[in-house]
Amino acid sequence: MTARRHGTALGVWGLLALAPRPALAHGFGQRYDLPIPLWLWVTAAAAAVALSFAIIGLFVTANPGPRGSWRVNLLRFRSGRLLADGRTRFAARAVSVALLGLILVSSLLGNQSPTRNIAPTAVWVAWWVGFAYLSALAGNLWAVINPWSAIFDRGTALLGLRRPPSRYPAWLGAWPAVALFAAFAWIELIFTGRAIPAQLGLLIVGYSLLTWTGMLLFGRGTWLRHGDPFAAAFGVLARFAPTEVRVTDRDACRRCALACRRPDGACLDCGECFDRASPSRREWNLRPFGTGLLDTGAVSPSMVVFVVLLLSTVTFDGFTATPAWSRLERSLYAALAPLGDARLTAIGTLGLVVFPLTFLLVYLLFARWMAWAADDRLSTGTVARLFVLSLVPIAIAYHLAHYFTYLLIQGQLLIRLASDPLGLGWNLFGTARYRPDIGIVGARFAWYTAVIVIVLGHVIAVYVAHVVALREFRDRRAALRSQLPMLGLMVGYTAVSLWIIAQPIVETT
Amino acid sequence: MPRCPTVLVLLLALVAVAGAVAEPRLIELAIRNGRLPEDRRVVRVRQGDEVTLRWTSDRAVTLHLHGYDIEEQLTPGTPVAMRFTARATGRFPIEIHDASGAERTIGYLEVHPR
Repeated sequence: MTARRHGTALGVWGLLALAPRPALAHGFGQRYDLPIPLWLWVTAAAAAVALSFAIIGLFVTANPGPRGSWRVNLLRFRSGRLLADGRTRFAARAVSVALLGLILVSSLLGNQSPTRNIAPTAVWVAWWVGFAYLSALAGNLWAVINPWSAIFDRGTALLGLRRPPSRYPAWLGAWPAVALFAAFAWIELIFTGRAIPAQLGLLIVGYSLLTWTGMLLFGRGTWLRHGDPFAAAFGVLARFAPTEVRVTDRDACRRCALACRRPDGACLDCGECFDRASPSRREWNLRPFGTGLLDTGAVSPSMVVFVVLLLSTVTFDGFTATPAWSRLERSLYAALAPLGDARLTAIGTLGLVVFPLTFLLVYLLFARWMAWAADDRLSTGTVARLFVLSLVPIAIAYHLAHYFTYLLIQGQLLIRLASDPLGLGWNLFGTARYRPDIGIVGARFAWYTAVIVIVLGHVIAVYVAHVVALREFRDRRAALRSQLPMLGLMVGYTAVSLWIIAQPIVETT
Repeated sequence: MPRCPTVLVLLLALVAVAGAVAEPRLIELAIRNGRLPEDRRVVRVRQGDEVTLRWTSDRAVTLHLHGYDIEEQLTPGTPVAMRFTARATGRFPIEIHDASGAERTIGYLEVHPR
C-alpha cells in the first residue's frame, strides 16, 4: 500500500509545497529530530560549566603559549602536493562552474516542484549547510572553488581587463557583506519563495550580477573580502578549521593589494599571494582546531557585527521551530490582523531584526563588563573585536548538532535528483526512484553526537578566549578577571543552544 | 536437577526478548472539524512497534504522514487504517489538506528509541 502510493504522494506533496509555508525554516526541507531528553540537557549543561572551570583552573598554573601551536605542511607529502596542484584546483573549479550552470538551468527551465528540481536541495542543503560543515571541519574550500571567482577570472583575462577602476573606500569596511548577509538570512529564513526553483534561479542571477559588478569595480579579492557575504561567512567558519594556507614569501605578500599580511611578514588564507609566491614558500598546513580564531588582528568593527549576525541567524533558525516561537507568533498574529496575508512574513522579519540586535547588545554589554573587570585599560570596542571570534566554536557546534540528521536525510534527495535534475522524468544514473532512508541514524546516536559536539565546541571557545585574554591583557590577574563575564556569556550561549535542541520541532499554522 | 540452569537461562532469554520485541499498537484518531483532540496531537510509540493508526473524520480530507510517507484519503463515516512498523526514530508531522487545498499540520508521530 505504502510503496504503491509513494509515487503519487511525492508528486502531490511536492506541488503542494509550492504553497507559502512560512513555518518551514532553514531554506528547504523537513526535519524529523526528536528533542533531546531533559536528563541529557542537564548533564550536558553541567558538563559545560564544570569543564569551563577546569580550563580556568589549568590556566591559573600553566601558560598556554599562544604562539606554540603545531603545524604540519601537507605540501611535504606527495598526496598533499597532488591535491593542491594547480591542475587539481582548475578541475575542481571547472566542476563547480558546471554545477552552477546546472542549478541555474534547472531552476529556470526545470520542473517547478521544489522536491523534483535539483536546485532547492542543491542550494539549501548541499551548498549552504554542506559548505558550512566543510568550511568548519576541513578548510576554506569555497575560496578555492567559488564559481563566480572562476568565471570572473576567465572573463577578465579574455577581455584583457587589468586594473579595477575604483579604490574601495576604507570606511565601508565589511559593511556591504553585513548588509548582503542580512538580506540572504531573510531569504533563507523568512522569504516564502526560497524553495521555488524559478525564484531561486532569479535570486542567483541577481547575486551573480551584483558580485561581478563589485569585482569589476574594486577588484576580485577586495570585493570578496569586504562585500561578498558567502566568502565572509565561510571564511569566518574556516578560521576554526584544521587547515590553513600560509605564504612565507615576504615579497609576494608585500606586493599583494589585500591587507592579508600578518605581523611576522607571512600571510594567511590569501589566494592571490599563494598564486604569486614561489612554490617553496607555500604552505598548506594542518593545525589544531580553532587556531585561526586566535588571530584577531584583522577584525574590524564591521566584522564584529558580521560575526554576531552569522551566529545569531543560526540560532534564530533553530528558535523559530520551537513551541515558544510558535506561541509568540500566534499571539502577534491576532494583533496584526490589518496586515492580512503578510502577517507571518512581517512577524518573521521582525524576529530577524530583533534577534541579531539583541545578540549584539548583549555581546557589547558583556564586552563592556569584561573591559571593566580587567581594569579598563582596553576600550569596550577593542574588547568586542578581540573576543568575538571566540564565540564561533559555540555557533559551529550548534550548527553541526542542529543540522546533523537534516543533512544526512535531506542530503539523500540528491541521489534521486542527480538522475533527474530538471524533474523531467529522466533516469540518468538509474537512481530516480531512490527513497531517502529516514532511519539512517537513530535518535540516541543523534542525541549523543549533538550533545558531545556542543560541549566540545564550548570547551574550545573557552580555551580560545583564554588564550586571547592572556595575550592581550598581559597581566594574568586582569586576564582572569576579564574571563569571568566571558565565561558567563559562553555558558549562557551554550545553554540556549542545548535548550533549542531539547525543544520539539513545531510547524506553526 | 541438571536441566534447571538451562531452563532458567531459556526463561531469562525469553524475558529479555519479550522486553525488546515489537508491540502491536492500535491508536484511534478522530478528526473533528479538521482537528485532533488536544490529547491526541502527539502520538508516542517505541521504535519497532507495529503501529496502526485508525483514522476517522467528520469531513473528507487527505492525510499525509511525513517521513514514513503514507497518504490516505478519508471520507466521513469510513475508518481508514495506516499500518507500518515504526522502524525509524524521529518526530514526524501529520498533515491534513482539505478540498480547498489548504494544508496544515494537525499532529505529530513521535517514535522514541528503545
